[in-house]
This record gives sequence, C-alpha cells and structure tokens, in this order.
Amino acid sequence: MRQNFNLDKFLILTGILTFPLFVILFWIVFPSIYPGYDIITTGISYLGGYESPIRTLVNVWGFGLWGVLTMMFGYGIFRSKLLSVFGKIAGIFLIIGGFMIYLVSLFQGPSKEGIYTLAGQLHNFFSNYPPIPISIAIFLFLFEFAINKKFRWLILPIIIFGPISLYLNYQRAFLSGEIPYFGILQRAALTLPFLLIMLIAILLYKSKKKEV
Amino acid sequence: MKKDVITGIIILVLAILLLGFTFVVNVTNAFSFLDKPILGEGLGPLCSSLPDCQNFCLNSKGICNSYCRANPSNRICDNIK
Repeated sequence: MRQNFNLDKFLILTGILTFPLFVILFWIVFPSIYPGYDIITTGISYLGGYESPIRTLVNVWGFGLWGVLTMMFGYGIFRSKLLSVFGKIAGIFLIIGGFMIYLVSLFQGPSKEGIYTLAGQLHNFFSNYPPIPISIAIFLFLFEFAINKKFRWLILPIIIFGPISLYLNYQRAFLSGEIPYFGILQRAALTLPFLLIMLIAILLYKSKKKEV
Repeated sequence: MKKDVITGIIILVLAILLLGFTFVVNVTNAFSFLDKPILGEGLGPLCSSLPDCQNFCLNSKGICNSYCRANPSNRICDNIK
C-alpha cells in the first residue's frame, strides 16, 4: 500500500473531484433536501445560511470540502514537476481561491434580510471574490499550455468557457437588483471554472499515470 | 516516497481539522457575535431603514447603486430601484 502511494496523483485527483462535488451537492442533493428551496431563484449561500435547516451539512460537506479540495489541488499544481513557473503561480492562486471558498463555510450568509452585519459583509466578500484568483489561475494555465505541448488542446476549452464564466460571475456577484433566475445564474457561473479545473486535472492525472 | 507519505498524512490531517473546525463553528454558532446589526436595517453607513433609504437614494442614487454593487445580497437594494 505504502509502495503504491503517489502524493502528486492524490492531489491532482482532488481537482477532478471538485467539479462533480459541486454539481451533485449544490445542483441536486442540497436543494432537494431543503424544504421549499427554489433552485431557480435562490442562491447557494442560503443553503448554508443561518436560517437553513441543513446549514451544518452544507457548510461542512459543501463549502468546506469544496474549498479544501480546491486548496489541495492548488498545492498539487504547485508541486507538479510537469508544469512550469506559470503553472506553479496558478497553483498559488488556486490555493487562495480555495481558502476563500472554505471561509464561506465559516461566515454564513446574512440571517436577516437587509441588515448590515459584519458576518454578512465577510460572507459577501468571501463568496463574491473567489472567482478572481481562480480566473487568474486559469488565465495563467493558458500560458502554461501554450509552451507545454502535452496540454495544448486545453487552450480551446479555456478560450471558450473562460470568458463566459467571467461574464456570468460578474453578473452574479456585482449586479444589483433582483435577478429572477439568480439561482441558476450563480450555479452556472461557478460550474464553468470548475469544469475547466476538472479537465486540467484529468489531463495532469493521465500524464502522471504515463509517467509512473 | 516516505516523505510523500508523511506529507500526504499531514495534508489529510489538516483537511480533517479544517472541516472539523467548520463543524464546530456551525454547531456552536461560534461566530454569532458577528451577526449583530452594526448600523441598523439599511444600507450600511448610508441609511438605517427602508423608508430612510428610499428617501436618501432618491437624491443620491449613484452612491446607493455603488453600495448595492458591493453588497448585492442586501435586499434593501431591491426596493430602492
């Protein structure tokens, strides 16, 4: 058992898991066990908010685990021998993004609508800004893949999904006023970057396998 | 190889500690002291209630929009368009 353990592969695997974890839990499982929750109109923050009956479950196994897995993947990228300095810097940004997602599990959404609280402000900050370090990381991967022949085909999905994801994240985080389909918009905005992360992780995992 | 195993164990322990900390914080409401209203039921430092905010934003729409862009979850923002 000890002989077969490969830390790099283990850390890269966590990157593959972030996408299905988010999709299965935040699109399907959590909304279906929260009585009266409307996935179309309601953001994911309310699943782990103060008034949620499934708050602890969502914050530990949802936001907490999602953030921890992202940080682990970031560390895996950082220490990967397959990647150049661009990849390593991307790894640092992924760790920062993952840590911010983790902090959402500690600072839940505002409990009383419209009331100005420090917890609400912290929640807004940590939930609105993770896409920035994660986007920088994905942008850096473009340079990495431009010089790294093995991964060059990944440039195309990044060019296609990257701008869409940025636009959706801007809409979800910084657009004020009521958005009738906010729940779907927010989930789509968060799904796309993690789809890219999963693709990157799968390719790195496969390369690692060949190497071993 | 041995170094990798030790690093892997450290990472797993850290992950479990972080998730355990989240569990404790959620179960005990350890950060509930942060959930007290700081400046009333309004738009942060700008105004303290819905009527007050509607009145304030009537003349200072730019400032209110700017606050709402930075604090999109504040539901008062939906009522001052």
